[in-house]
Amino acid sequence: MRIDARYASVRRVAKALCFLCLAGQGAADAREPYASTYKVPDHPPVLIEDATLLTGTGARIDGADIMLSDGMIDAVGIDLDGSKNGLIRIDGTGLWVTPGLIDVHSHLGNYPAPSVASTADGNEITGPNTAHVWAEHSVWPQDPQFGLARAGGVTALMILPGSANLFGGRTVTLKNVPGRSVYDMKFPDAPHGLKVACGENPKRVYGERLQAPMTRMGNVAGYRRAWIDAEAYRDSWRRYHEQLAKHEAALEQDMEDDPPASPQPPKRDLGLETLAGVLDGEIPVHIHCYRADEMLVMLDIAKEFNYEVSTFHHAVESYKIADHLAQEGVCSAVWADWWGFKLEAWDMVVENAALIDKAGACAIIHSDDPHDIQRLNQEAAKAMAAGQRRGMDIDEADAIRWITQKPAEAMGIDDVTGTLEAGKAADIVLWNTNPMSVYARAEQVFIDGALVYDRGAPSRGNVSDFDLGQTYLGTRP
Amino acid sequence: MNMLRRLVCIALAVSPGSLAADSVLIENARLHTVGPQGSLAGDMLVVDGRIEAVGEVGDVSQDVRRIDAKGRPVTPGLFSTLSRIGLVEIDAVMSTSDASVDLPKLGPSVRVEAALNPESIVWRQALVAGVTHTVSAPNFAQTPFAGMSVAIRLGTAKAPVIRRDVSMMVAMGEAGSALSGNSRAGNVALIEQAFADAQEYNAIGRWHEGYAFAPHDLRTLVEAHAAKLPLAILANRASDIRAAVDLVGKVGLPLIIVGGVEAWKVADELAAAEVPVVLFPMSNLPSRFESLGARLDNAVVLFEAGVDFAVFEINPHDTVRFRQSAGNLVAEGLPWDVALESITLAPARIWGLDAESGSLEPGKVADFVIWSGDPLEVTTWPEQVFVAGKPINMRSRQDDLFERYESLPPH
Repeated sequence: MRIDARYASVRRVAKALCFLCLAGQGAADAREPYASTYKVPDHPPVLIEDATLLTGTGARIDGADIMLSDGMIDAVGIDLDGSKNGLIRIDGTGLWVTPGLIDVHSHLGNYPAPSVASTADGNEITGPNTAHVWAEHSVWPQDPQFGLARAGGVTALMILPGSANLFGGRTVTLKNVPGRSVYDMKFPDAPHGLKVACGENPKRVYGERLQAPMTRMGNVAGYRRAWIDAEAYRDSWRRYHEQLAKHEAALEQDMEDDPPASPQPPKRDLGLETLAGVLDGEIPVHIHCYRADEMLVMLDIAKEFNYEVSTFHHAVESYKIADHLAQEGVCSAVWADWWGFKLEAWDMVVENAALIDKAGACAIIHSDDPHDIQRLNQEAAKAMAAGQRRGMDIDEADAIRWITQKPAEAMGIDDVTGTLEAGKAADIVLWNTNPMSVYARAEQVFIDGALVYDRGAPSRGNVSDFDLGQTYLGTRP
Repeated sequence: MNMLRRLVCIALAVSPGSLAADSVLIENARLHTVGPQGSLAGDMLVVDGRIEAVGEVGDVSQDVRRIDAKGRPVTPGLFSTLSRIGLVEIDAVMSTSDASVDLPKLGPSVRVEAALNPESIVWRQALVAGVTHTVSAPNFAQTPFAGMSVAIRLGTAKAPVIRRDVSMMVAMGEAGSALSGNSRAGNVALIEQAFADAQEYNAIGRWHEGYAFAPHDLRTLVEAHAAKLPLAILANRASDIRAAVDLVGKVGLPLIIVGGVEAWKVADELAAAEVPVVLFPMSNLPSRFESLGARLDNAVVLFEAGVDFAVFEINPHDTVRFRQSAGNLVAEGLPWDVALESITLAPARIWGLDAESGSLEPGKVADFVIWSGDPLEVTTWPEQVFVAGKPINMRSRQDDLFERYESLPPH
């Protein structure tokens, strides 16, 4: 039996709250705390005709149509039926269509613009293990950077805590839609992730304070101790649930005499709940890690405690161990060409993504940056060209997967988005030319079939509250 | 075409036995001269390291070294307008980073050429990325004067400095305020006082403790004044840009705006005052209160208003991003040739170095690049960089790393 302590306890709290609201207000909102409030908007059906499609599955289809209706990709093909009522037809001649871009590593909302001390909400640098914090509780939905990323074609993104701590906390996956609350943006049913950081950052931050960890061996000891605590915590909840089940069974079977005493639940611990969620396979692990040798150590820790690593982030040296990463099924989320800002980022090669891909491992291009998230396509293009320069057989149909299908897999949302396939969410970008060109711009962006960005007609959704009153509004964005 | 084949092609194209020749002919090129000749198909003749003729080169002697560009684009070597190339190897390793002088009362007199390291891995990486020139500048540390920038030619490692004292780096706006008692008012007062102190010190020949800067700083300011050295002033908010224009009017020096995120708001004033702007075109975030008006087409507005501008990339590692940002300006509406100019001739012109560099014109140094395709695209690369007309070794440490790990050992 697989019991997720986190979900069990959250549900219990939610139930208790719901009794209160039923009693107090009558009509109850059945929403659990911290659950998504996003709803697929109504939209007219859309047919884009005669465009070049990069499907995100590795295919390029020229002169193809794509139909969006009821929030979904209805069909992809040649000469689709355009007779639907109220259909909006878009002539895609000369235009390119890709899945909505997905960024597996972003700090929009928790390091928003304006970037001032009072908005720096990404790094809870108060202890090396802050597995108890949730990135979503720092996300400011009015961050103007969301709209700019939307204009760059980004339809979903994962917001992570920073990398100062060994355990940074829970990540959150968002749909890149305007909202009054982070929960208006939270991607329904997407799992949380756990942010882990290895290497220079934790040991520098805490070492400078003469605290642990001060060294890389201190880093590793810190993870292992935490996982040992997490195992004990998970086991205590398992025992509790076993005892509870026995107790309830006894109550049902034997109503006479003395039923066994009702077991007391262990006290909840938010940090250990997160780590136990990883051990139970509910929370994918995302590790900030640059060096090849350290990534291999991180995989050993995962073996010791029997959990899986989803993705190494930054992963500047993944190309050195691409065979191991392929074998372990671990993704690498890399930059095209960022390097040299610290020693662990010294061994970058621009062929990194191409080499990872060539080895059969999962390659992702990520941004970790509010500028680059606006041009993920260009980052993928640079990484593609680096492979082409070496004679590798890759093209735009391959490279687009690094910013669509592959990050969707890493984030656990690939069953609903990340490719142009019938039945997937209608998260798509319409480009004015080949998106692997520096001259490409997103003309229109759709999320769940709804037009959320139109280059020719900036809308309220792309102007945050913070932007209001600025003198550039009304001019070309 | 794969890398190996291409290398062979270039090796073959560089005809053997011509090492002694001091003439080089680039044949069959798509020449983007960024000069009066514009873009044209043709040849380029280099004699003694300088461009002799572009386009129709006339009769050429037999012993000239011939290099076939195979119809590919040839541009001037890129001029990284403002960077820390040679000053920073790894940002977070302090012992390799000489950009900031973290001392009180030391500012205007900081000259970074003593810190330059032409053996730097980063320097070589920039050169093989097509960057043949840069102006390397000190960073701000404790005063609103960071010191003097220096112009370097990356392909001439033994004597890379082509001009000392290119500009004096001064901070206004938020950065200047933070180094001047946390007020823009203090910032303007401190800068003006420094120049006034320098004049007084020069007149009476005696330094006293009331001066905000050390004697050699004040002497440097006097020299700067005598040489009409441009002040390269970091300013982003429209009002800060106006304040910079006012300030240089008072101290009587030329002005170059660095940053200029909101320069588009005062484009007409900058055009009238003939003040150029050195900008980072990807700044479109309201990430500071001084940059709330940030927009991607800032450079397009400046161009249309007649303001001279150049693109910069301060990070010495990001030399590919340097041309990428120029490409993005084309997507925002800038003419292609103007975008190319913004990373070649415009920086040379703004820093006063265009007599020697920045374009493919007879008489200029023959530092140029053969590209695999459109040099502003993200999917192209430099096929070959030339310094003084000679093809350089294009290998870098990243090639060594790639080749070591291209095939992984079985495990």
